[in-house]
Amino acid sequence: MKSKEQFKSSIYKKRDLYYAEQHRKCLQFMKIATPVAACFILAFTIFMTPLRNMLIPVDEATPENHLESSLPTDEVSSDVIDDFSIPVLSIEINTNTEDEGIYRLFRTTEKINSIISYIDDLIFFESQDMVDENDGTVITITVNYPDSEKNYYLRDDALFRNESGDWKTISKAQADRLKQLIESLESD
Amino acid sequence: MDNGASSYHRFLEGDESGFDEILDLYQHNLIFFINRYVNNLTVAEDLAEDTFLELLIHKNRYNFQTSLKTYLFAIGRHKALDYIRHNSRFPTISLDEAAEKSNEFISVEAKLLSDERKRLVNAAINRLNSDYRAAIHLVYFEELSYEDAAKVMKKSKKQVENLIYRAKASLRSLLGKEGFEL
Repeated sequence: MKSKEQFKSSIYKKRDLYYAEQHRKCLQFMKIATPVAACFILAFTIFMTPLRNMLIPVDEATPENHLESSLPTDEVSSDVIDDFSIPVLSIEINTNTEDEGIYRLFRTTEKINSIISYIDDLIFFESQDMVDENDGTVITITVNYPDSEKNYYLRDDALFRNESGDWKTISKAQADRLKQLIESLESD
Repeated sequence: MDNGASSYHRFLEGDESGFDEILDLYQHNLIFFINRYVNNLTVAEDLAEDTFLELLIHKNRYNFQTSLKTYLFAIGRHKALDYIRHNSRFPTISLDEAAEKSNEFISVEAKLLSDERKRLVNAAINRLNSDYRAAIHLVYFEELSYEDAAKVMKKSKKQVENLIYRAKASLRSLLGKEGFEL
């Protein structure tokens, strides 16, 4: 039989082994639990974010400024880019070819507003195309502000606008309607 | 608080000598009690260590409502039964080793039970079934009350009384066959 000291020392050794085993189990658990928790959070983010966006009303979900939005999008609404709070003096319409030439100069508030409000409602998309002003018939819409001007190029299929070096476009249907609007208005 | 409960209380408050006192009080008694079940002194010693280990690692389990002795012996019995259950499924000891351990036990036992009469009684007790052995040991060797013995054995007081009655009858029969005068 063991002496009391041997017996006691054996108990304390077993205790140390027990704590070491507990510690090892804890580490093993953490090794498994950490990736599982990370996967759970990732899955939650992936599945819950679209669901959350679906549940939020559209006007709340749409960022006020698409350019500052963290969500990638090709679609850029016109009211972001155009600043029509500055009074427009006139709008000049011109064509690069004389055959199908359209020339208009609008100075009256009513006509300016009707064109501006139409442009204001346009939905622009990012475009990889560049506009060659001499490529086919291109109608140039020049919006004159007190200190500056802004040009839009209306081609057969779409309206392009150069904004800080980036070209943006609209759908053909919208371009056709804009062309009809311009043609329907008499020059001032 | 008595039966080592106050010592355990001191140990829980950081006084290591409290644990030494508990060992002084119960080390050998617990080993012999467990040996009643396992019939192997080395194993009994190992299981007794595990029993005392419970006091070290699960410090909040003892509620100081019952006697520490009852608490310890109940754990000891539980460990012994676990060992027997496990060993019956996975016997690992070789016959040579068993014989060696048996001899070792006999030699130690012989030292402790020098008196011939006591040795004969003890040998007869060892031939009883485990419940009889445990009941006899708790009541007559550890001098526990029937209530405390019942707590250790997880039985009712009445069941312990019946066990003692039958154990004594069996002992009487065994010792009578060997010509022991009662």
